Amino acid sequence: MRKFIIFFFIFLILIFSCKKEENLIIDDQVSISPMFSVALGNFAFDMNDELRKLRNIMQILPDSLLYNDEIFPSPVVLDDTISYPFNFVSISKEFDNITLLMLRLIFNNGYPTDISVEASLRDTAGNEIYRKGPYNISGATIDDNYRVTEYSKSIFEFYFPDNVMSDLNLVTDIVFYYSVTTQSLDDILVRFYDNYNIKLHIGARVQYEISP
Amino acid sequence: MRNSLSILLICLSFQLFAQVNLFYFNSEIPQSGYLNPALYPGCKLNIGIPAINGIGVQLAHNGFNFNQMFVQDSNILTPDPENVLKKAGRHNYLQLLTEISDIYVGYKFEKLYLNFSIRERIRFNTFYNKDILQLGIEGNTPFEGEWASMKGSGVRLDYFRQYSFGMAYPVYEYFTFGMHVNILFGKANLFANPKSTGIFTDEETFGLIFITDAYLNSSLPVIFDHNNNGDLVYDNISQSIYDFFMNRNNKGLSIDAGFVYETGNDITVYGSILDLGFIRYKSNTTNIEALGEFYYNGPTENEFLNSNYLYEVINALDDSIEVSMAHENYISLIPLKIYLGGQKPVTDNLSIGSLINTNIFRQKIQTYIGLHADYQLGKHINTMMSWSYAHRSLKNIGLGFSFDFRPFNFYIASDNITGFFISLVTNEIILPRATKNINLQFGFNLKFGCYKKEKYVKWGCNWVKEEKSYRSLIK
Repeated sequence: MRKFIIFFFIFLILIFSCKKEENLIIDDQVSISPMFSVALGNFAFDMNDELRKLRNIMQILPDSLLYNDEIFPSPVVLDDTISYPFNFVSISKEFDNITLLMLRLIFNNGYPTDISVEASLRDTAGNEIYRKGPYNISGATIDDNYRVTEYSKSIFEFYFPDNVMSDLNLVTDIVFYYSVTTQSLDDILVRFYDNYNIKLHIGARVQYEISP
Repeated sequence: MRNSLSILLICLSFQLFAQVNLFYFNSEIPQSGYLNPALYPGCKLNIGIPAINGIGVQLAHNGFNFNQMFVQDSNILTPDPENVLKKAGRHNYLQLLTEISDIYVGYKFEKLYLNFSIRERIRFNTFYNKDILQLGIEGNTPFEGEWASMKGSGVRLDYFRQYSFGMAYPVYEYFTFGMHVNILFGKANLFANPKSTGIFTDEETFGLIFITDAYLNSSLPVIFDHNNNGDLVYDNISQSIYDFFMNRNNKGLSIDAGFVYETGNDITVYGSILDLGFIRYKSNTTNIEALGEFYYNGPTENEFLNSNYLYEVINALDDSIEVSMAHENYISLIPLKIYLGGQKPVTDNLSIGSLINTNIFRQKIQTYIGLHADYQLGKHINTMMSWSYAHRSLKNIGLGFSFDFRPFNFYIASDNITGFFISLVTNEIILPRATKNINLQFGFNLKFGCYKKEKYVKWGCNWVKEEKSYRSLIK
């Protein structure tokens, strides 16, 4: 019986001695910062409008290009600018909570020559907020008949610096500046066709700070 | 609405209780027969005091404990999501159990021990895998090129009343067999299973593939339906609390079976299989199935971020999921429990043993492995101790007592008191802070027709008094 009493009291002590209370405070300033990888969209464009302007060039040079099997002087550089809506307000109005942003540009070049691209973020007034590039995209694979058989893929990534992050709320458009070289590196006859194009896919990694 | 809330509150208030494994080898507690029907009480007549002969508590979470969720600095607790993720298992569950034994009566006719019991059994489980947790804390970037799957996740609620007719009989001098035939009446059930639902993030384009293959069956005081807009809504059932608790439309059947086998070299082997059965739910049923597959690679062709970006993502995802709803009867299987253990006497008063318990859910198999010791402290007190691996933790020290002052019997036990103990030595204040399992069971019984000489031989066929074993009695 004595053993029992001792044993029982030890048990009671264990149970009840832990019931002392303190004022513990759970910090409500805590946050988590998940990072999301999202696809922002696809776009395909061609240089046909620029290529058609070649008809205005009268002088035929030894190094020439063929556009729809019509010969044109080369080399020339065809420039183009394309703008798309790019509004971060659609992701979050609380830009302060975006702690990291990376854009991934995936180019699939369907032209047989290299392309140079620059990306520019602009506000509603057209002012440039951030510019990245130029990126060089190699030409597509061609067959023995100088026709493109396979797109050339190039992937570029860039993280936004802190000073740009603070201006994200101003961004409304993304503008791409393209330069297509009509001369191949091998000085071979280059053929362009109407069905050629460039495909662009944009993805983003966004780190977002969430506070409960 | 008020009735539904009342019923819900009553159910939740029950959900702090359940059966503990510490009793498994202790046949002097009649309710240990719930774990092994072959256990044979030492007294001729055993009566559980109605409603308080077996009240059990369990709250278990195998993912992480309270301490692991916070970093403490002085009296400030700062949540630590990274550590939560680190400590969580591949498959996790939160479990709330209640078992209340309303009635227990057992009587020995010669060698045949017959018993009858009525029990309220309530179980609530939430299963979640690490992918879901990681997706919430770290986002989908860690899953680039991988699936974040909900496989093994789900929610399950069972509340049923069990009418149990049991017997235990020494078939041979060294082998006792027992079984229960249980008639079940389901009161509430919910089973949500996301099956192969998941999200895949393309490692190159960050395009997302959503696959939805999920279903939900419920029999609750609410019924789900579509409104005119196609949205999911619920209606309360005009059912009184009395009607809810006395509902007999959801009938089921299950059996429990067990054995006790004396090997002849002082080792007694125990085994049992419990809850092999089902309930067919017929009242207030809802069956929801959601199927869908969706590939999201950004806004439509030739468009980037526009002002409706998030709306479009959510809308496209929503459109891709086809939800069908019905109100058909369905069958719910009861999670199966399997026990296997062995016990060996060390001295006249002390026996040691080991026990393995497996609870089989569709989402997860719960495993308990324990070392047990039973010590007879004088004539009236039996102590039970255990050290077990359960809920992905080795911090489970069980302790229990059974007090026999005939005809009164009171027992109380927990499979885990370390939460209290660790709180004490580390000066922490919230009881379950350092443990993954809180577990308690107690009850009062009346026992008649017991042997007067109390030289216990508690192990083996311990219903035989004054003899060292049933085998020697037969001889």
